[in-house]
Formats: sequence, C-alpha cells, structure tokens
Amino acid sequence: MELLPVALIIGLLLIMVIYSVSIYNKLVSYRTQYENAFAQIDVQLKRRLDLIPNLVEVARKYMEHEKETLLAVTRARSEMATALEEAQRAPGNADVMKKLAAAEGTLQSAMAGFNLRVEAYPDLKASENMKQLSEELVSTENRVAYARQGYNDLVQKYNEYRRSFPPVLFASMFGHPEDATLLEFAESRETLNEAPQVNF
Amino acid sequence: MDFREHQDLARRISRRIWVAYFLLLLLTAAAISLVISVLLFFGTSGSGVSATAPPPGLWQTTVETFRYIFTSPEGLMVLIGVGLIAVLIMGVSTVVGFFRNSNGHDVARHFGGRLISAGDPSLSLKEQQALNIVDELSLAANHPPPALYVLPEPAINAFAAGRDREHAVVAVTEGALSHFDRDQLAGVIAHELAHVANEDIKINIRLAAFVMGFTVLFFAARMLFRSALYGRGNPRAKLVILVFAIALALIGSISVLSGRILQAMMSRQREYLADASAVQFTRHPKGIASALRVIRDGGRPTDIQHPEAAEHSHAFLFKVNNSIFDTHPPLEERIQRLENRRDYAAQAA
Repeated sequence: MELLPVALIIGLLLIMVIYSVSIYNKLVSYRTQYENAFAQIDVQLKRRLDLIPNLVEVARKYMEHEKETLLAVTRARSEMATALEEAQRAPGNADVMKKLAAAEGTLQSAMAGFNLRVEAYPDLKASENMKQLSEELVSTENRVAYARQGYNDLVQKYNEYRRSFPPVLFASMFGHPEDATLLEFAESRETLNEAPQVNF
Repeated sequence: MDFREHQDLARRISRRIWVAYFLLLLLTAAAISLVISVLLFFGTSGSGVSATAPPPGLWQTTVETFRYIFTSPEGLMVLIGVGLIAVLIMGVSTVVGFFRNSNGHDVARHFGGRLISAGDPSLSLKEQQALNIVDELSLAANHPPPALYVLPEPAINAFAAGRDREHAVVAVTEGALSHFDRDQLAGVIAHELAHVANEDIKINIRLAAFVMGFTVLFFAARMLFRSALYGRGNPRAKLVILVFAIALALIGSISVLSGRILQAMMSRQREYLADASAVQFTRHPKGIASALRVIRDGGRPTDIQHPEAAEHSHAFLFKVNNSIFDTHPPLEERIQRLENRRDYAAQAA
C-alpha cells in the first residue's frame, strides 16, 4: 500500500503551490495598489495648479493694490506647472526632481504671502466667492496631504507583508527584492525643526 | 490613539464572534435533531414492552430512549441525519439572506435623502464642504469616493449604506452639517467611510441573514402547531407533533435571542473599528472625539424621526434609540478610546 504516502506528498505539494501562488498574487496586488496611490498624488498636485487662476481672478477685483503679490503667485504657479511637466517626462531624474521641489517651495511661500495679504481685505474675506475658494484651497491642500498619506499607508502594507514570514522567503524570487520607498517631507529636516516665525 | 492596535483588537474580536455564530448554528441543529430523535423513539419504544411486565415510568422510558439513540447505529443515523438537514435548512435560508439586495442609494432615498453631486451650482457652502471631505478622505482610505446624501432631519446623525463599493453611500443629516465644524464633520464622514471600507455593511447583512436563518424555526413550529391542532390523525401522533412544535419554538427563541445579542456585539466592535479607522484616515483623533462630545454634552437629539429608522440602526453614527440590544458602544467609552485614556489591549488579553 504505497498509495497513501504518494497521495499525501502530492497533496502537500499542491497546497504549497496554491499557497505560493497566493503570495505572488498578493505581492503584485499590493504593489499595484501603492503605484496607483502614487499616481493619485500627481492628480491632486495638478488639481491644485488648476485652482490658482480662479483664486487670482476673484482676488484681483478686491486687491488692486496688491499686483505684486498676485503676480508672484501667478509666476510661481506657471513655474510649478513647467516643473511638473518636466518631472512627468523624466520621472526619477534627480535634477528635475530638485527643480520640482524648489518650484513647490516657491509656490507655497507665494501662497502664504497671498493668504497673509487677504487678511487686510475684509470685503474680500467676506465675499461668497472667496469663502468658496478658501474652502477649495483647504480641501486641495488636504487632498495633497491625504494622497501622500494614503500612498504611505499602502507602502507600509506592502513592506510589512513583504517582510513577514513566510512571504519573506519568496519575495525576492517573485521579483519583490526591495521595500517600496515612503514619501519624505519636501522640507529638509532642519526646516522642520525650526520654530515657525511669526511677524507682527 | 494607537489606531492600528485598536483596529487589530476589533478585528480579532469580530473573528471570535463569527466562530460563536457558527457554534450557535451547530448547537441549534444538534438540539433539534436530539428532540426529533427522542420523539421518534419515544413513540415506538412502548410497543416492545411485554404485556405482563408493569408499564415503565416516564423517566425510565426517557432514559431508555436516550440510551437507544446514542448506542444503536440506526438511532445515531437518525440523529446525525436530522442534524444535517437542520443545518442545511438554516444554511440555505442564511444564504438566501446573503443575496438580499442592499443598494445604498435606495436606503438613502428611503429616508428622504438628497444626492449631493459635484458641480451643482445650488450647493450651499456646507454641502460643498461635505462633498470635498468625502473626496479628500477617500484618498486617505484608498477607496473610491461613495455617493453623498443629505437627510432633511434636524437631528445630528449620519450613516453609511450599500453592500459594496458601487452601491455605497454616505449620508449626513442637515443637523450634522449645521452643527459640526470642518474637523468634526471630517471625523464623522471618516467614520462612515470606514464602515464602507471595512465592509461593515456586508457583515451586517450577513448577520441579519443568520438571525433570519434561525427565525425559520419559528415558521416551522407554527406550521406544525397548526397542522396538529386542525389536522386529522390519531391523537397520539398529534400530541407528539404538538410537543415537537413547542420544543422547536423554544429552541428557535433561544437561538434568535443569542443571535441578536451576537449581532449587537459585532456591531459594537465594528463601531470601535470604524472609530479607529477614522483616526487612520484623518490622523486627527480630536475631530471625531469632539464630534462625539458635542452629542454627549449638548444633549442634541440623535433620534431619526423616520418610522423605519430602527431597522437600519446599526448603520447610524449614533444610537437611533436606546435598547438592551444596543448596536453602539457608550459614547463615553468611544471618547476615552479615542483620547487614549485607558489601556484596552490589556483588558482584552
């Protein structure tokens, strides 16, 4: 009766094959998920760019004496748009990425300056258009932040699964040799550690 | 709040509740098969006794019957066979319940909800804000944004409905829109979105189906009862059927009751899970915590006036009304968890 051990071995092998297929599929699925989440960040960044012309348009009526501020915002926006386009053509290129980070920084400071100036125009602040736009601005910033956070959560899920046992035994063999990278802050560590400056 | 720890805890307890459901199903089936076997053999055992011997007492016959059922092969066959049939019947009615259609849009419209869609120029600022929040948090949840409805109710409440991604909706009352600031509203919507993302609605449908599987016993009992009362046949057989119907109703009521309690337990765990997931999405425990506190301190009514609200109570953010079978944990407990004021991992170990 040698049939029993043979059947057992075949059964065991079958279970192992099915199990490793499920590991393979899970790794692929998790990678696709975080890649898709990364694309979302791009979408949200573009959405932010599209919003700025509207904002400037509304503000222009009230802020006639702030042409400089508005111009700075418009200029920073178009700079950012160019940088984003270049980054899409050559993703991962260090120079291009640096340019993109710099453009984002310029845009952010221009927006901060603009928000500060809005405080001086109560009419503008109280206008229905501006209320809607500032809601849109808050939402857009949240979207960018949440898209990054969502991406990082999925990267964490992928890395956690990849490093767990038993998937860790198969990961390299199935083409997942490395952890996916978490998004870092655009700002450098030093700037984050600095206390925010408030001028009166 | 360490949301991952709380999520793991709630998921672990949820799994235990599923096991309890399965055990309940088996136990009920076993009880039914035992009753049927006892009655079957009770009815026939008297005939074998010789006329000269004194008639055996009730207790003695019962013991004999049990011995026969558990020692003879045919007795065991009947027991197992009937048990399997009982599991099958309850299983089938459960499966039928699984496929009950649950379209979130229908539920929301049922409560008089109004669909809020992007680009509608008549939207108020608050409605636009709620719509934005749904879109933002969907990015955080890595989930396609569900449809948003506003319910014309002055009470503060919200719910999620719909069995899958395509049919999922999130609904908030006008009261919630006007009383919550942006952070609180984001906490509330994140909680509802978590119900969708964690597939809690599907779980609720399944549990309701399980309980429905148990109520099938009542229908069977009623049918038997009627046939025994009004049907023709010998009185002895009628008596046996009557006893069986009563036993069935008893087993049914115990299992439905246990099922309801398990259902409420599961619902409370899914609330904790949704609170923890809301923190995962917003990374801002204060938002949902302060929304819960508004309800606790302000004494604002959360009662939905709609007559059929109770049927959907599990889906709402807050209790629709108070009962022993509470679908929601106490607010104080939820706030304490969100604000990290007690150690719950130790409690569950």
